[in-house]
Amino acid sequence: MFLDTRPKLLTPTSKPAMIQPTKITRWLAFLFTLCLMGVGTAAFAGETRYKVELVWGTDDAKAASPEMKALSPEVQSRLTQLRWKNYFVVKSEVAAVSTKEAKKVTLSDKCAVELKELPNGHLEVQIHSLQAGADPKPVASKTMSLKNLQSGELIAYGGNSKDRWGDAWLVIVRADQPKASK
Amino acid sequence: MKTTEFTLDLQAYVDGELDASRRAEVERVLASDAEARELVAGLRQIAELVRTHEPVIRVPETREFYWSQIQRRIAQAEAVEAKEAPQASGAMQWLRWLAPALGVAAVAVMVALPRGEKEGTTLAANDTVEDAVSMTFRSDADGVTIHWIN
Repeated sequence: MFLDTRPKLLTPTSKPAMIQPTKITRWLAFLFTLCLMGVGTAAFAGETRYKVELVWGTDDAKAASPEMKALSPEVQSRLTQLRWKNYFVVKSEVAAVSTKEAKKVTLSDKCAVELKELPNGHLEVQIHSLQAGADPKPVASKTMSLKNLQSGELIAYGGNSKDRWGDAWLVIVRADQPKASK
Repeated sequence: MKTTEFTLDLQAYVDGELDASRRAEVERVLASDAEARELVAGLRQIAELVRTHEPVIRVPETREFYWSQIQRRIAQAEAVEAKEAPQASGAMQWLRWLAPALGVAAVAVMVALPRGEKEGTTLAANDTVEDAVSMTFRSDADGVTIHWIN
C-alpha cells in the first residue's frame, strides 16, 4: 500500500468571510456625516452674543438727549450699589464673540470696548480710551466667567463724568440671551 | 586600777563586739566609774577620727585597663544600636514605598479635582494692560460686578 509521505499543505476548509463593500460605504458615510455635524455645531456654537451698553448715570429726571432711552428696569434694579437715580442708554450694541478673535465695539468717540472669550471659560472685557489722532489706549481689562454671564450676571465699568459734575458713565456688558436671568 | 582585760572589754564595747551579758556588766561598771566613761569616750573619738580620715588608696589604672574600658563601652553601645536598627529599617522600608505612592496620589487628586469657580467670588483679574480700576464692588444678590475707574 502506497503511503503518501509528502508534507501536506494546509488548505482552507472554507472561504474567508468577504466584507460587503456596501457596508463599508455606509459606515464611512455615517462617520463623515457625524464629522460634518460636529464641525458645523462647533462653528455655530463658537460665537456668543453679548449686549454692550454705554449708560449715563444722573440724578436728572430727563435725559440730555431725546435719543437716549431709559435703561431697562431689570438692569437698573441691579445697580442699587450706585447712588444715581436715573440711567439712560447712550448707545447699545450686540456683539458676537468667540474664542477665535476679539470683537471691538466703539461706544463713543472716547470709549471702546473689546470682548474676547478666553480658553479658560472667561470673557475678557477690555475698555479702551479713544483720542483723536492717537491709537486706542487700553485702560483696564477684567474678566468674568462665561457661566456667570450665561446665568444673567452683569459686568460693568464705571467712572465719574468729566463733562458734568455729579454724573457718571457706565459700560455694561451682559449676555444677550442668558439662559437664566436673575 | 583597770585591768588589761577590762580595758580590752571597753575597747570591745566601743566596737560593739561584746555579747549581751558582758555588755550589761560593762555598762553597770561605766555607770559608776567616771574614769571608765572617760576612756570609752576617748576610744570612740579615736575610732571616729580613724574612720573619717582614713586615706583612700586607689589602684593606678594601666593603659591597657583604660583602653579596655573604652572598648567595652563601645561594644555596649553597638549592641544597643543593633537592637534598635531592625525596627528602624522596617519603618524606613515602608516609608520608601509610601512616599512615592503618596506623591502619585497627590498628583492624581490635583488633576482629578474640578477647577470650578465658587459662586459669588470676585472676578479673576486678567490685568494684561494698565489697570486704572480704583475699586471693584460686587453684589451677589444683584449679580453685578462694577469696576470703578477714576
